[in-house]
Amino acid sequence: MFKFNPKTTPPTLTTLKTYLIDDGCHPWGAIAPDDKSSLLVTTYAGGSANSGTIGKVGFAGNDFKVLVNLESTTGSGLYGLTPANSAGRHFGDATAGGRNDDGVVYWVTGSGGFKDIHSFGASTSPTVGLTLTINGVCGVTPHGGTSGDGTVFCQNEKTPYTFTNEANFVLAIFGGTPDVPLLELPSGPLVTATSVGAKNNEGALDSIDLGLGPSVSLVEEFAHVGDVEGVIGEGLSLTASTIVLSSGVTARFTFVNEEGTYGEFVIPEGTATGFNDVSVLTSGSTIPSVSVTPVEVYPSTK
Amino acid sequence: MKKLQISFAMLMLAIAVSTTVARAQKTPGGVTPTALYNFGTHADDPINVQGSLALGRDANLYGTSIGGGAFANGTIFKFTFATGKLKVLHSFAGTDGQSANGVTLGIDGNLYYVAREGGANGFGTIGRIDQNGKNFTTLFNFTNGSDGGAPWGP
Repeated sequence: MFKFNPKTTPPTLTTLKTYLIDDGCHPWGAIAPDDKSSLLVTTYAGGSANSGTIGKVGFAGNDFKVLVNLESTTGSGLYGLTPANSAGRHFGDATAGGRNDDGVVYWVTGSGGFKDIHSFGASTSPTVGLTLTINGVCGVTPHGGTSGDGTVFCQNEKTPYTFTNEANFVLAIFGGTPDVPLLELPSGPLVTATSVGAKNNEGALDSIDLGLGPSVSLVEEFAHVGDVEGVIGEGLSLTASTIVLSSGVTARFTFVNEEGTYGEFVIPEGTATGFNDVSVLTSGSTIPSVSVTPVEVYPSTK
Repeated sequence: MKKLQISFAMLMLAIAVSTTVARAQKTPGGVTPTALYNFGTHADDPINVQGSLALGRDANLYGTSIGGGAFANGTIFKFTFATGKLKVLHSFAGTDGQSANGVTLGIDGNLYYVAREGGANGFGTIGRIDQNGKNFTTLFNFTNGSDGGAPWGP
């Protein structure tokens, strides 16, 4: 595991962690910031049962410890973690293990809390990481579903963790074997890509509209008071948009591009530390009530 | 990146975008996917897209493939929702990387990627490109020494 700084001349790469087999091996997938000083990282294999690990390490590579040693019963072959939701839970999936040895969906916290919330069956093992949505978490499987060409699934956090098969890929139409993590678009649909089938038998870029509604994305998952945060969305306005953070403070864009798809604001004084939901209000629009993954704010360093 | 709620205006734009793509037939028991773009439409199209997709500052889609492109070593591409067009921003030649595994938008507006093969030492690279496909720069060549090699993560 390494840290890369493109701003230095020349750019610098710093090795944060060299894995030993008991720590885990083959760290694949997304690394998730957990708090102001540490990261969570998964491995595909290694650990006490050679089924992979979830580890925690300081930003400087310090104080590495294994939080969870996966076993065949809990999951095996991990594909990274989502950012934390407002409850501090990161979601991940595994390609094997669980009740049917077809993989699992789980959540983990930075203090080592861990729970499997779904065991896949019928050879529908996921092979890429998950995506946070308003309702919980969604992902893709490369196989399975009504046509055997893959699925989009979701785990609804509010029901709680009800597993649903949301969409089925059909090789000849949308392509099959989706192998790209879902990305939520500002307009609401999720996007992934298939690698085979569709019109030219080379796969397709597919959207799946689960009715999630419009959203914006934040560029930085962490920010200090006084830092610039980037927002990607549609219909952003320098004069008619207000940014509202859940700690009760508001901000205005300091920059919006001509297309109204990118804006910047400064995390204002008075923002409570910790997770902050952020909403963007545009003049004349109804205020959406729910945000998905908040920015985690820390005191100013200036 | 983090997902948040926004405005009615975005909903209207979503509806406009949705009318520009052909809806495929309803599949039983689920939400119907929509094919936005069929890979292989053009000669140098991306083949086998892998890794994380990213939104650019223009709210369009950016991604990478491990195949396709002018040299069959993979691509960095852009998909524009309003037009339904895909543009290859960079075709990897191998010496500048190969088999990139997704892109990330930096706070500077550039796209950053990690390639798990190719580069000066053959063990992968880290690089940067802007959203117009300009200023492609290989920032780091892995040596498979203490820096590791064949980086796989996003």
